[in-house]
Amino acid sequence: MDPILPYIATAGAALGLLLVLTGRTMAARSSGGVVGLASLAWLFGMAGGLPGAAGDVAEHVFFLIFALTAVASAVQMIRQKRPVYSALFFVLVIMSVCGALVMLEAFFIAFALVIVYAGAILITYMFVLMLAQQASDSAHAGETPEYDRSPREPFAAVMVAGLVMATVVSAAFTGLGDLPPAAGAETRVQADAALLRSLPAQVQREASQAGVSLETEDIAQGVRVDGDQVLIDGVTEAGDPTTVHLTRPGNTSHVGWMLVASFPASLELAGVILLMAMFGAVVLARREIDHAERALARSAGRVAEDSESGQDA
Amino acid sequence: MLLAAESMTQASLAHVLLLAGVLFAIGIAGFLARRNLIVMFLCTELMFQAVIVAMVGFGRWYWDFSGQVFVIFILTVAAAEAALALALVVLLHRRRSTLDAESWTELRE
Repeated sequence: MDPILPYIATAGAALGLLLVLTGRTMAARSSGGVVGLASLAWLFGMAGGLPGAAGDVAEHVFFLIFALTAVASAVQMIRQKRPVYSALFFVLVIMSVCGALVMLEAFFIAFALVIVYAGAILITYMFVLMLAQQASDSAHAGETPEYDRSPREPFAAVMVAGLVMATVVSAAFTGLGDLPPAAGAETRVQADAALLRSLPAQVQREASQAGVSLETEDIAQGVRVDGDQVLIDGVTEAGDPTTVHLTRPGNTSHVGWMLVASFPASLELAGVILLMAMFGAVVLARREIDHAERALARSAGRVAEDSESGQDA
Repeated sequence: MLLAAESMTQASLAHVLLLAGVLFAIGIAGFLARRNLIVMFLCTELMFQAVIVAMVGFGRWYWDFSGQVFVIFILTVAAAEAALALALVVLLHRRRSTLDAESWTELRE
């Protein structure tokens, strides 16, 4: 494969985005969408295809479907003239990204994103949008304001985006070969065993549910890996030696354990950041603009409007 | 499929990286091209999503969960940013009763 081809596909995608953003007619915009999506499909195809995909092919296909939905709704999000539609398309982006994360077996993060992003942050955005739109001048009610209808410097914006994209493309097509090889199933089993060694009470509980008493006082020593199983030796009530197959911990246990065991200081810091943000938001929101200032603001708004309409004419 | 723990192919890592790159690029294009303050902030959230995809993808490549832990921190920062930025936008909107970013161009002087 010619090394220049991925960059040509990137340029095609950027051209499609430019057409979508600036096209005056429906035909121009939709042809831009077709060009952009076709270039992206070409780019993904060049990056390596499904025939060689080890593991679950269905997983890969679903990842690509979610990726396509995410990109298409992201383009719709920056194209829509009504900000409320932008916010709704962003919800769709989040949903598709979460689907892709599930395909990457990041279950906890996927559902946390749905709850926190789509459920909380986006609702805040919607509230502010509706608050702002209701307060806009009622003379032009129902009409999208000028600043939502015309993009600012779309050509420069798409150029910058295309350059960023080209950087990522060069990393994806030439840099990945230099990475250490992917970790396989045995790394995951070892990680599971290491987590269970840190949680002796859980191992104890599971063994006693199976009616097995553990012979080793030190459970951390006893947990071992056999193939894709995590095992520990013990004795049954009758006194026969036996082996307990431990339940392998899932994604959430791993993330939770790593959060508190490896990054406790960052966790505290995150709490402080949230507290400070809450204080800041309360202080900002409670600030009253007094009447003289409000009159000034109104006249400033009128001045701004006049100067704008003067520019338009 | 659950916990099958197959090792990831290079093709699928490239696809994850490309998805992250495309989302980030669209976010930048939107941030630069749109003039509505709130939509500009939405575009920064889109860039956060791109970073989240890249982090989880590399974490899956090495079966290392610290990528996902850092997504939680990104989530925290995004929530803090949304709260503060939207409070500021409401304040700005109360002064000029417009959401146009260009009505505040005098700030750069």
